[in-house]
Amino acid sequence: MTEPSSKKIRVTVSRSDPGTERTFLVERIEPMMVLDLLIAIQREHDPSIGFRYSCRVAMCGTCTLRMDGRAILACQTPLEPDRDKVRLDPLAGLPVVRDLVVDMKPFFEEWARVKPYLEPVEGLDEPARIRPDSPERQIIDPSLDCITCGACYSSCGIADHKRDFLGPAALNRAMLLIADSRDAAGAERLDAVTASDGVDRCHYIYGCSAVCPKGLDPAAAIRRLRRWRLEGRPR
Amino acid sequence: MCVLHAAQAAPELDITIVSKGAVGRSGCTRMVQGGFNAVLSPDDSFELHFRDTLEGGKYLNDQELAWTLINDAPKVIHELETRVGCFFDRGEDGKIRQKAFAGQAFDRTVHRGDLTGIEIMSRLLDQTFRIKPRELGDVRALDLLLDEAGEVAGLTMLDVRTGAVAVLRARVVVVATGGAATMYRIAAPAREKTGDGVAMCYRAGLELRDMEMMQFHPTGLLAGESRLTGAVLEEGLRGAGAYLYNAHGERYMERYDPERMERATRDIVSRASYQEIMSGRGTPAGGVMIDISHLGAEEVERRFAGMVARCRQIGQDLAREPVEISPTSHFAMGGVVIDEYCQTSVPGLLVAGEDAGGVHGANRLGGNGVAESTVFGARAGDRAAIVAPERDLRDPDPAQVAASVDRALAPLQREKGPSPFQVTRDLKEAMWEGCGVVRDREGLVRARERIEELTEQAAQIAVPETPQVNNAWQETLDLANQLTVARAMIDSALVREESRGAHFRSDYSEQDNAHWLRYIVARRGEGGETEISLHPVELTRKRPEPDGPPAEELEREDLEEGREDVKR
Amino acid sequence: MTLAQALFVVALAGVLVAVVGFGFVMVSAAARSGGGSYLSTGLLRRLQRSPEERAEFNRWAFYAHRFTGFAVFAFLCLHIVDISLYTFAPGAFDEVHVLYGWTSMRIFECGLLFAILFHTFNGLRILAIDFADLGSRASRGLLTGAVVLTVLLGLGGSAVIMAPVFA
Ligand SMILES: Cc1cc2nc3c(=O)[nH]c(=O)nc-3n(C[C@H](O)[C@H](O)[C@H](O)COP(=O)(O)OP(=O)(O)OC[C@H]3O[C@@H](n4cnc5c(N)ncnc54)[C@H](O)[C@@H]3O)c2cc1C
Ligand code: FES
Repeated sequence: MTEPSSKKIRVTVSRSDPGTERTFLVERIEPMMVLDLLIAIQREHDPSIGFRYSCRVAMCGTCTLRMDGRAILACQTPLEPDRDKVRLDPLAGLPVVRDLVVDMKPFFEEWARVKPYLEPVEGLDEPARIRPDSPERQIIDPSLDCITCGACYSSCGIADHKRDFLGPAALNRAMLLIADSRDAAGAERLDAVTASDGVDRCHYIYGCSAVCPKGLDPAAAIRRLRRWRLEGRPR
Repeated sequence: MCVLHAAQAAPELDITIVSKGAVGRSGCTRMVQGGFNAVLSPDDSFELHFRDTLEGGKYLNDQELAWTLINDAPKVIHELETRVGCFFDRGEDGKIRQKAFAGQAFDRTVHRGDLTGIEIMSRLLDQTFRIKPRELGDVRALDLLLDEAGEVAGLTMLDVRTGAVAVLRARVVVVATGGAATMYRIAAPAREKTGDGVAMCYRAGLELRDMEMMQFHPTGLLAGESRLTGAVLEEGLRGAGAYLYNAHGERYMERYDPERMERATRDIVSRASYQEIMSGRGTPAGGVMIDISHLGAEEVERRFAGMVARCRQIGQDLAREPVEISPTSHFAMGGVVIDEYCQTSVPGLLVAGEDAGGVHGANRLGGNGVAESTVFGARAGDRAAIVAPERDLRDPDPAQVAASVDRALAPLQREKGPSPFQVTRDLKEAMWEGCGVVRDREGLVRARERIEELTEQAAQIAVPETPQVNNAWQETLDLANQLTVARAMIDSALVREESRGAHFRSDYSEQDNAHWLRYIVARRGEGGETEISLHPVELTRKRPEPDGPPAEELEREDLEEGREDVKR
Repeated sequence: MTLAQALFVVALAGVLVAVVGFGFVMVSAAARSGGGSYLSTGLLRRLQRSPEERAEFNRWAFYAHRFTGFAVFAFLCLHIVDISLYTFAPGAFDEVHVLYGWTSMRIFECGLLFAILFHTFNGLRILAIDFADLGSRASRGLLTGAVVLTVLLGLGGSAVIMAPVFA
């Protein structure tokens, strides 16, 4: 444990109700996550500050916000010891409910458009026998643990720009289902995601892959989908 | 799971999901790391799983519920795999891989890496895009509404985003708000889990059983004031041979379980650590140390990458130095009394998951938790589909609605009062000290008095007047429920004058099967006090085996070195 | 100045206004919803810290790509008109094309050259990403390449364009 210090950190939080931002001087604790900062503000400075979290261990994906512009999970991002100021904003491209809380509806609308649920193939009555080293699992497994936190959506630059774009998370999900031999709707899905509001909108900004708190690579999924359009689905 | 089944059985039903957090992204099912117990292998059997469950639960379980759990678990795994779209880890042969878990005689835990919950909840959430139920995310259920005949009429609710209150009329209400394990200073679960469902049912006059049973996980991270405190370090560390030290550098497990040392069961290790800490041999921050660096930094980094990363975040290096830990409250075994169809004594009211009591008895096996929430969730859905069409919409009692809404709005209207955050802290402190891992009469009585004081304070809390996304207000409402549940827990714990499973009384340190194969039921009396009654456990299927292997015995080989994937 | 020349200058000014306006709209929209890092000392510190953070350069490349694309397109619209003068009014064509020799016009052409080069190389980079399945790191390498090529060729070309002025 490091020595308790009496250092302070200057936090600027964008607030929705007065329409302005507010700056707080918060006592540092060690270790300190961004979430701890918010809880400290809530307890010591302003109990009305709006933010959200649930699991605090990077599993629920509800605490996403932007620190100095970069989308992060508040519960998983430590404040570096040498940092003395920080700026917090709600996610970009999503309607703000209050302060740092956004409405994820647009994100999930895009998610819903790729038919995110399995359409089981005929006769799938037993858990499928698929070896973990099969090509299909090699594609799927590394891309699986999306927590729908919206960090990629916010960092996309295209999806969050109110253009019609399915966005990295939804496309990643579509890629997984198309690769899944248990799913019967792959062809239909591939058509959907390669339509004009699909993969072609991607400009390889790599914002998604750079910020994903789970270390997934949605940009790779998009490249894969573009390739499958030409070469056909892997089967 | 419940919605999925209800919609499948009766597509014409009008289904509404009310969730205090984001739909599908709050609660603990999402946080399950370890996995899901189900009998899938021909070499395993329902009887074996049943025995493990009862041995774990110290025969306090409702045996019919436990049997139902075990019987349905494989079906649910099948359904998750073939209909819902989950994919669990496979073995070399392409079949579902099952790993070892503490306290079980057979490797039967199904998992997806160490993020099983994300896979299950994400895929279930995806199903909602197919079924399209009405989703009320960020809407908190306040109270159950009954009609004059005492049957379910609906519930009152509060939109966290706008602060608006509303009444939802329903033919059937399924309560599954996931227990109340957050009310301790050091706690693992998601923040929504403040006993809302249990408290709602209690206020509606339902019976709660086994409320004294609260499971503590021995290796929760200590990270100072940070919210990461309480996050679980996986059980596999102990399995792989990690040492536990107190502040004097003693391997204190020598005193508690010289034979199995750190590999003893969860309850024993939790208890040992707690006693070390409470008797002043803990670290200044109130913890003990876990050290696994003797395996070699590289080895630790390879085998426990996730845990090393988790520690690194708080500036500690698990691979090279000891890390500070403490027992952390984890799971509430107690809850509302239900039958195998999730039905309660109130017609139209179903309860499932952690809110229900009796499945796990005095201690839950790792891996039976998600199994419970999915199995009984599915059963509640099936049942709702049968019950709902038979029932009509009732008219809630207006006085009840008004009382519920007034209670919810009161803190907004007060100008001055204590801060909810402080009172919550005090509650967590009081429960940790008085009704924690080790209990005694004196401590419980003190905690009881403290709860009374805090209840009075809670009634005076004032919060900022913004109704939208007002965390302070929400915390106040959580607090009221937590206090209700805390009281039921303490009252039950006072009555059980023996030690069994998760409930350890230092003044009655032996398990007493002759007198205490009885479960404790708490309900709200006329005047608001807790009414306690005792009921013998019905040993419908299996009695305790005096000669059989004690539960601890079974666990040892599961925790053997090399089993890196042993989790909770 | 002849009428044709005056009209051309006015149209060119219109193009410039459109380009600047586009840039302004783009930057303000990006600031509002682009989701990128803010330009601050903190960002500079971060860019030094971890290569992952440098994915931000891809974002700036995207904005630069759109900006140069629009600039080239807007000029092309005008250019098509002034070239096509040749078919029906060769006299006017000659008059207008004298303007391309002005120093200020040459400076504008240099800017145009840089825009075309960047747009071309960055476009090729994006094609390469698809064809060679390049990840974030490799694509950043290519971006460096594209920028270096743009600068080198742009400087060379500019020297050629500006040479008559200094001759
Ligand atoms: C860190 C951790 C790890 C675990 N690992 C395992 C494991 O490996 N294996 C295992 O078997 N079990 C494990 N468990 C236990 C398991 O997670 C629980 O048993 C199970 O998730 C309980 O499910 P549930 O459906 O009852 O509640 P939850 O999944 O917790 O859901 C509760 C829901 O109710 C909502 N809610 C709460 N209050 C209200 C209200 N007033 N109004 C409206 N909605 C409300 C919440 O938003 C939430 O969505 C673990 C638990 C934790 C905390
Ligand atoms: S609180 Fe759940 S991901 Fe941060």
